[in-house]
Amino acid sequence: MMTPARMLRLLPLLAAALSATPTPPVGESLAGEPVDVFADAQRGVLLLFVAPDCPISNRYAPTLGRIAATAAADGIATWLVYADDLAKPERIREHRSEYALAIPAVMDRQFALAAYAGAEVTPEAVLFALPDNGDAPQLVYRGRIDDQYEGFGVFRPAATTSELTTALTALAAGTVPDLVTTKAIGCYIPRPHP
Amino acid sequence: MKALRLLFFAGLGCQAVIRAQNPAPPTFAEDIGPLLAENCFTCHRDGGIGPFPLTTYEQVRRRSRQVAEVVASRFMPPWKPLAEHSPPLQGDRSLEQSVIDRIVAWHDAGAPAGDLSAYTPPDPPTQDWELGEPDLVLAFSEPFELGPDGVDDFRNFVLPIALDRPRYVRAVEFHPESSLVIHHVVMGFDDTPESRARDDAEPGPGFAAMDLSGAVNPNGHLLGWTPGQSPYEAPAGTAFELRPGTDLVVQLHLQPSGKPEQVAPRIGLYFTDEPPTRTGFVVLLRENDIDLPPGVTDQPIHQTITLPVDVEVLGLYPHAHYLGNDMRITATLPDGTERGLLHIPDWDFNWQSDYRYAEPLPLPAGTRIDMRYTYDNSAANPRNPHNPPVHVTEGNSSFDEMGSAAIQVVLRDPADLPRLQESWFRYLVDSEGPSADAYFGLANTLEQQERWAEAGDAYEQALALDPTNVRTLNNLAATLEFQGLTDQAIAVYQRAVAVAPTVALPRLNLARLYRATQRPAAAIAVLTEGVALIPRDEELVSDLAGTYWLTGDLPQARATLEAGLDQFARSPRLQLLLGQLLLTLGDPAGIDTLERLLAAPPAADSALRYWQAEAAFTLAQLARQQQDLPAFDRRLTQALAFDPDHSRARLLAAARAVAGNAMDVAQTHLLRLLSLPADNRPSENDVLRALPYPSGLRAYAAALVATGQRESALDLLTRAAADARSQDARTANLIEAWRDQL
Repeated sequence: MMTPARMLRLLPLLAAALSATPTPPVGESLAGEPVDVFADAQRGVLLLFVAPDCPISNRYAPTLGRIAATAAADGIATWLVYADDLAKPERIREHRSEYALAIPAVMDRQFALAAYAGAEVTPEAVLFALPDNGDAPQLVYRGRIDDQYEGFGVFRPAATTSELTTALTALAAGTVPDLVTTKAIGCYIPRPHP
Repeated sequence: MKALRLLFFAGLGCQAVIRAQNPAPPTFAEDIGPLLAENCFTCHRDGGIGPFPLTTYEQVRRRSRQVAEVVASRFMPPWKPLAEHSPPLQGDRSLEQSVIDRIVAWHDAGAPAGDLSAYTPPDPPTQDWELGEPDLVLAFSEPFELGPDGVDDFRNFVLPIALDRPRYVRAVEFHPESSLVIHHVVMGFDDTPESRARDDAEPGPGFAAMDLSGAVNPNGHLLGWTPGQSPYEAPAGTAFELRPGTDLVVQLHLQPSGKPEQVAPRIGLYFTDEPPTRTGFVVLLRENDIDLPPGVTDQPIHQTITLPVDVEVLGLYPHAHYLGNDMRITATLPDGTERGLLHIPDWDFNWQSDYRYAEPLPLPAGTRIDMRYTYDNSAANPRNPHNPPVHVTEGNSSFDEMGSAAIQVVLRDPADLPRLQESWFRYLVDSEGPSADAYFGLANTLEQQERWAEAGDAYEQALALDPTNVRTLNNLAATLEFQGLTDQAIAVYQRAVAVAPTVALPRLNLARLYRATQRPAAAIAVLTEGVALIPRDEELVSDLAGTYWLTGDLPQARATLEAGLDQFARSPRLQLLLGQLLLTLGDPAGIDTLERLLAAPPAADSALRYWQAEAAFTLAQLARQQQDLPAFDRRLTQALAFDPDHSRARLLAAARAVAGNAMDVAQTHLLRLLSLPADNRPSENDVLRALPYPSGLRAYAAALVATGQRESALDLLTRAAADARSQDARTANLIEAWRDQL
């Protein structure tokens, strides 16, 4: 998985490690290979935390597909992250096909990506800008996909605003937006009890 | 008193001891597993309608935080009404606070497993239908595919019901087929073509709608389904009749799941032979004047009605859209006592449901029902579909608002129905402002109470708003007829014919009145014009022929019927009339015509059998004239085979049995006659005239006794003996002897 882009970024990553910024962890492909979700991207990386048995996460599938398609055209790579110690590749394949989720997927069985991104629920979006100078990924958005859900069972018929889309649009336009975080509503990522 | 108090303290002491001995947090095996099995398992199991199972420890441990949160916020199990503000409701899913506390404590303690070998989750139900195998299962002819995306979808599906005869329905079970997307369901029955026509007008299965189209609540039953709700069972005596040709209309509230979903629920119908003995009605309160400027947070609405008769409330279905907030329905009894009927303090459009009381709630005449709702059209209402809020008014689409409460009642006395309906229509007239439909409905209920003059006034009010409504004109004329105001009735029927020349009913009524007032030429004119203008009405043809017949113009009657049969080749009504006419003319072709009618292939339409019974009865009378008694008996049997309720054939068959001294057979016929509805039952005089004298008296008196009318039987024989006395003492003595044997 050592792509040229990854090679180029080795040095900045080391620098980041020295300045105590945590090194981005890797995910795991459905074939069980390590995957660096931050490789290959131009402007940024969007991690979408999802779960096959979470109804809110599933209801967002069409929206996630549209967001990923727009992001790809803008040079932002999108990954589905299945953060679950019991994640099963065949179940994930089935899920992606059932819900027509044509977005590359990684498993996060040790919850390392979830911890790095600070994601707590599914669905939750975490957007990183990749600085031109090769610095470490910079967190610019974490939280809900849009404002449709306000709580379990409390939702609008349709969303009226999306901070994620605002951040993506800014990033696509070439500016690195200031960090915005919102509360995501959904199923808790099953991290072990503290 | 002292002893009691001591006991009480002893009890407390016991509890404290138990707590001290068992300080350990709840575990899954001992506490939480059984609790979830009892309260959540209906939906959250493999193959259940909940989005994920909560049966094994592993499944629940991974979601312990979510489970604790949703039970603490009372989002789950879904149950909106406040228990303390209504009589106990069926299927109350709310949890005791102590149960919630234990689940939260378990999560806080790290979701301990306990001894998992000690707990086995209960087996999922093995039975397909909760109420057992239905008598009739209605299924979609093809599944409806719901797209992966978008907002709430409200769709009506029309399911034809294959029935060969009327049936009584005692229960309805809705089976979602484990589809997660069916959020709630409302069902009604439509015996008009309206729903089918709307379905046909849209491609694919079903049609988009938030109303139930032409479908109605049968006998006042509110038929709904929400996830986890038990099947609908009609309370004793309130089964409803379903006639062949009726459609079930199923309105599904669908929520896309993120992937394409096949929607094909099944509905089971359960029949009973018990006809309804109780009458139901839905008292629908609805605010038509909702006006919600953007930003308002507590906008109230209020509707009220006073019940004129004693009822029992079985359940209610409150309704608002996304902005509904606090919804409260109360009853104020005649003595001033207020009783809560339902209170939903945090209305959620997505968890709307009908609610049924565990026991029917009696409310006496004079009880006032109040419906008070509030609305929140501020940006702070998370369910507001608009941000920023917009101006919202009353309407049927989901972004409009509604405020209604359907209250399902059964009447203590079925005869009270018109009075309850009258009050409801008066409520509509007052609350909706003048509306022709409301006045029309009011007039209808007054007609049922035979308050003809008041009904006429209400029809006049309807006409003032809608002067050319032919239905209203026709009914107004009928109320005038009932008051004996024949000339005025004729004048209004004439108006009806003038405003709607192509509607048959007022023409038929007008012609009938012309005949009754010896103006057959005018009747012939209005019917002839009708036949020319309305090509598809055989009743006009038969009435026209009948009018010619009445005037003695048999050739013209025959020509009319033959021309009619060119157009309606298989019309049983016209065939019967032509056969009877030909027999009157002495033309044996009449027998062939009637035989052809008798040989017609059976049709789903039960009316055919009625005409065939008439044809057989006509041939029976012919046989009697010809003194061919075997043919007479055979034709009577044939008539009764086609229509067991053919009262004249039944009466003649009874007379034949009495004459042949077959008293058992006579008794069977007479009991059947006595069981007929009043409008199809011959009068006592007609019966006694038809039966042989005097033995018919004995047979009829016996039938009266068998139907519990012993006093009438004694009275009848006493009178008959007195009448006989002056003529023939022996007969009188015989009748008295029969009386004394009773």
